[in-house]
Amino acid sequence: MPISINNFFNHLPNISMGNGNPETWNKVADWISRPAPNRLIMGGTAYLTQPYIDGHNKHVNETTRDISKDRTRAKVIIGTLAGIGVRQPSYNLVEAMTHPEGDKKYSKWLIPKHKLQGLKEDSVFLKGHRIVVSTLLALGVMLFTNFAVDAPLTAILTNKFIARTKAKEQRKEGIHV
Amino acid sequence: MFKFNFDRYLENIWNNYSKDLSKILIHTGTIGWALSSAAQITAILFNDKISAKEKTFLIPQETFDALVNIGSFYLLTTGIKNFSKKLVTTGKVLPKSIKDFMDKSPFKTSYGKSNFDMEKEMKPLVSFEPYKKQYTAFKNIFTTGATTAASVLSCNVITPILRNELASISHKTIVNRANEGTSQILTKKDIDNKDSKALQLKYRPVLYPRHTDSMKV
Repeated sequence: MPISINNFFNHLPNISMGNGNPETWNKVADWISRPAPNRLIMGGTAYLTQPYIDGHNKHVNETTRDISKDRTRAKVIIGTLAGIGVRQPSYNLVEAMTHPEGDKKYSKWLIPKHKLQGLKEDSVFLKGHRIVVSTLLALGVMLFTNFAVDAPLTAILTNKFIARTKAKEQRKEGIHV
Repeated sequence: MFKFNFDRYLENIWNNYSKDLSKILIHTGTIGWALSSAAQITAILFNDKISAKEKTFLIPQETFDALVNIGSFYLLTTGIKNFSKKLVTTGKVLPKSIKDFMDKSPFKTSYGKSNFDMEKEMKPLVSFEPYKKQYTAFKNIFTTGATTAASVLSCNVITPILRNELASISHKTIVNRANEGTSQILTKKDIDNKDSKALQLKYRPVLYPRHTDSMKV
């Protein structure tokens, strides 16, 4: 029998998972897919892994390692906060303008006119459309905030972390002396 | 004359991206990572609290962060996303109630095989009607969960390890190039001649001493 990916796939056992509530599954999946919660998940896990990886980089000396770790930590904190700060309002704005059954003047502004016919509030495509348009809007805003907010705030926080690390090291040396 | 048609633009977005969100994530992610890196590199360059020797590591690290992120997202995240989708659409992974239904159906020997298509074979069946909602929701949560886990693995584990490896290579190259000539022996002629290139090389400020770790007191 030839060895192929399909062959390997066919030999894997069929697996069953628990019977959950479809409504809950959809709600959780929708929440995770939204730009701001997604950024929070990525930022939270980045804070746990990235400074640790930088702090154990044996290719550079101790000082560079510490500075790299402090900078990554600052970048993750500022990037996550600024990312959520831009993405959530963008999503809220787009959501307010994509209600096919809404009665406000702006309720349908961001829905293509050809797609309005028969479009329901819980349409999968509409949910996807909201995510896409809000992601594009957030990207546009971030063209500005990356340079005007993220970069300077990361630098300030990095310097604070570096000063704290240095003070900690000096205290340690003082104890040993 | 060019006339901007906003509705046509929205329709293009709907047709191209709303059905497959991973495409927009890759396209905007690529631009986003490149922009973020450019901003962070600018911040490192102008940060006077960070010395030149540390900058020779931090700047390549930030550059490789964007490059590796884009590459690993293209390869790993989309690969895992497609694989997780295949696991559900072939019936390899299913909720227990649907698996029990499949085990009693005429497809009990064919489902879970690579060429089986749940959407094509099962969705038209009347007896599958009560399970349709659960199947669609399961596919949604399973692929979304797998894609998110893959993104975390790709962006927060693989990227930092690889970017550090690559940045270290780049850092060592820069340091070695900067330190070239500092260990050469000077002749009397070099010492007497203040304009000697060898003398200038020997006593120029050393960017970053070699084997710093072992030299540390």
